[in-house]
Amino acid sequence: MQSEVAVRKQAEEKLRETNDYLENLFNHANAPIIVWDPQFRITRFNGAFEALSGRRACEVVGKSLALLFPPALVESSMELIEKTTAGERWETVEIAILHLDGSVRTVLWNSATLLAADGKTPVATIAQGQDITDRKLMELAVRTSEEQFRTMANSIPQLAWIARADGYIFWYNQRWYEYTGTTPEQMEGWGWQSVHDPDVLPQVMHSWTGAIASGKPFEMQFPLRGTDGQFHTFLTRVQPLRDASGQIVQWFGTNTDIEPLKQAETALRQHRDHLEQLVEARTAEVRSANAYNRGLIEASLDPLLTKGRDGRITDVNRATEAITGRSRQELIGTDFADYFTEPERARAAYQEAFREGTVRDYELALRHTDGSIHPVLYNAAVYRDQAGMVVGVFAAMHDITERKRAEEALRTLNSDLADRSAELEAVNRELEAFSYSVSHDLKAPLRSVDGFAKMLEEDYASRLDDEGRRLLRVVRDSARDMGQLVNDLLTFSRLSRKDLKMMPIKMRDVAQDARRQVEMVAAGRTIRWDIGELPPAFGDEATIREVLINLFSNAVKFTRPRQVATIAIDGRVEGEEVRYTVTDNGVGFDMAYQDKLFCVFQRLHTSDQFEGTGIGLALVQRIVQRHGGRVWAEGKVNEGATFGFTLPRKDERGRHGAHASIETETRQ
Amino acid sequence: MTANGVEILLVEDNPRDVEMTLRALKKRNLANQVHVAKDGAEALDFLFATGAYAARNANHTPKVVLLDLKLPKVSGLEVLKKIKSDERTQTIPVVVLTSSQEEKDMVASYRFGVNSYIVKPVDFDKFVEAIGEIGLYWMVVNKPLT
Repeated sequence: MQSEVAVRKQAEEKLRETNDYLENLFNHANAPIIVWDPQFRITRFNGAFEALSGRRACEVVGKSLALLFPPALVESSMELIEKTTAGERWETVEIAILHLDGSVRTVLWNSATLLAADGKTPVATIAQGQDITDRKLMELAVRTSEEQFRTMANSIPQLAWIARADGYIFWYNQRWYEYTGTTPEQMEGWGWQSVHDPDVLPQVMHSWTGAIASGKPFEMQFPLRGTDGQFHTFLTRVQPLRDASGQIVQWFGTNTDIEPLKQAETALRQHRDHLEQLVEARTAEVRSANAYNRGLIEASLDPLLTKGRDGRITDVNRATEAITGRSRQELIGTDFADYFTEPERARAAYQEAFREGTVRDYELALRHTDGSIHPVLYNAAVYRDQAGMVVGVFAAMHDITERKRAEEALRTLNSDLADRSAELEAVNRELEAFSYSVSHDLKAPLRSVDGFAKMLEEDYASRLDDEGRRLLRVVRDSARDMGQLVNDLLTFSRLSRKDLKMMPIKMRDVAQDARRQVEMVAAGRTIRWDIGELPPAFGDEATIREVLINLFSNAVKFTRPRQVATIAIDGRVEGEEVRYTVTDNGVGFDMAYQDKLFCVFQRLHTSDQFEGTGIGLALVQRIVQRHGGRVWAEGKVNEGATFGFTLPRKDERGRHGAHASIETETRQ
Repeated sequence: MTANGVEILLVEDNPRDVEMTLRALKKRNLANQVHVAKDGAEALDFLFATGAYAARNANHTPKVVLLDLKLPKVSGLEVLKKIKSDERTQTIPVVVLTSSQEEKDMVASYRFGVNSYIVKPVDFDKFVEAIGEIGLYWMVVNKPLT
């Protein structure tokens, strides 16, 4: 018995150990395990299930399984569970469990139903689950990302494909098929070679297999044939995709059609070349214009410069360097006002230019480094950029040193002239006094010489022989000649100085007057006068009468050898002047001496032939010239002479001699 | 020569001219009643009976004055002016006898009231003729106021 008891005890002990073991196994299993009774009440609920559902075993034991499922799935889940009670065994049934936090876990279940000793009546069902929620999510993510990738790969403008690690292409995007006009069957694997240019293909193969071998990214340009049979150049890039261990799992490739790019590039290059040519040409133009402008600026004798808004010099020309004695480098960046003798006024001028837009002929003086001062006229104007903003001031200076000097010289000259005028006036007065004196003092002794010689002759003639009387005559003749000379000189001087009373002259009347005077001393001569209708002139009647008297008496004198002398005066209007000529049939003269005729004391004949002092024609010339006219003479030896002169036809105010002469007539 | 008998007053500083003038007058028998004043001051003294001529009767005026213009002390023009601006003398005929052909002298002379303006010819024959005719005219032909 004892042993039986011992056996029992042993058996009980063994059973208890088994139970403990099972209990531990149940409680500490990694997988969620649940046991329910035939009424679907939870009887056991292990720790893993507590984690899966968020519920404690003590809370759920004795309660219906239904509380474990998401409300929407309770019914379908319970149907599956009822089947287990009917004897079905789950292998991998997916039933979702609702976590207490509201999340739903996807779980795969397997189950076993424990039967009573009769082998029929179910006592309990045990189910063990595997939480596949994370795996499911991952699968979804992968599926989504792959879809996204393909969508993307189909939407990009490039051709795209994916190859296996060994280069076997198993997927092309839609564009590949569209461009090449091929089918997936034709393309699979290495079928792509059919759309390559056979000439380039070996090179492509070499590079591609090289990339596959080395695992390095592949990049190459090569042509691919399109559906239209035309090859386009594509830029192909292939990137290896590696797994976590770094092993290449796939190659992802794209082919970018760079034909338009190439065409665009060509067009762009041509365009750029054209532009460059244009720019070059324009640059050359601008450079030459600049050089021209610069040349002009540099060539300017006037100092020119530009100043910025701050008044500082930005550019100068050579003349500016010269006038300041400073180089371009020294000047640029400095305040130009500082180079003037009055910097404040210079600044004011500059500011005025800014304010008013321009400043004109502002008198300033520049100081040269050598200390010399240069007066200048400062002119300035603002200049603007293309937007119209004032950028600076362009200033031009005109060096008026020379002008000032000239002005000074002119002043000196004027004052000299005034002095000279005064001197001249004094000389004139002296001359008048001299003439006066000559007329009295020179003539008086002459009169005495002649007078006393005459007295001698009268009172002592009986005591003189013929020679004595001849000598006395010579004395008297000489005295008379000298008297005539003095008289002529006095006349010449008087008429040269006389104020001309310009008025219309009735030339015919004056000529008749002169004729009468001349005739008085031509007694015994036969003279045929020809004084026609002479055009009137404008001048001083008294002196013009002297002119005619002189010309007439000359004519009378030089026609003396003629039986019948002819003296004619003629006149005609020529433009703004009247031209008069006095012609005679006298002895004439040699034209070689023509220019000597009008000089004082110049005579072409000896006193034996024709008396005279050589003053007459000089006087004629002097008077005519004072009227603004000309004199001339024409002649031939023994064939007579013609003396001509011109006079103005009207005065400066345009008053005609003819018209005015009528007034004179009425006044008389 | 008495002051009362003076018919011609010759105002001339040049003794040669004086001599020639007197000779010319003599040819017409007019030289006896000539008084010569050697400058303007003397001429005025004579006419107005002043200075050296204070004793002279001023009412006894010459029939004609032959007056040179260029004279020492008082010029001929001044003498002329005095004669013609004084009631006592302004009716005396004055003949300017001069070498000057200057217009201004002529103009001034006529303005002052000269009765005749004669430019002395250098030629002695003409001189004699001119003087003679002047003398004759003023002494014989002309009828004075008094």
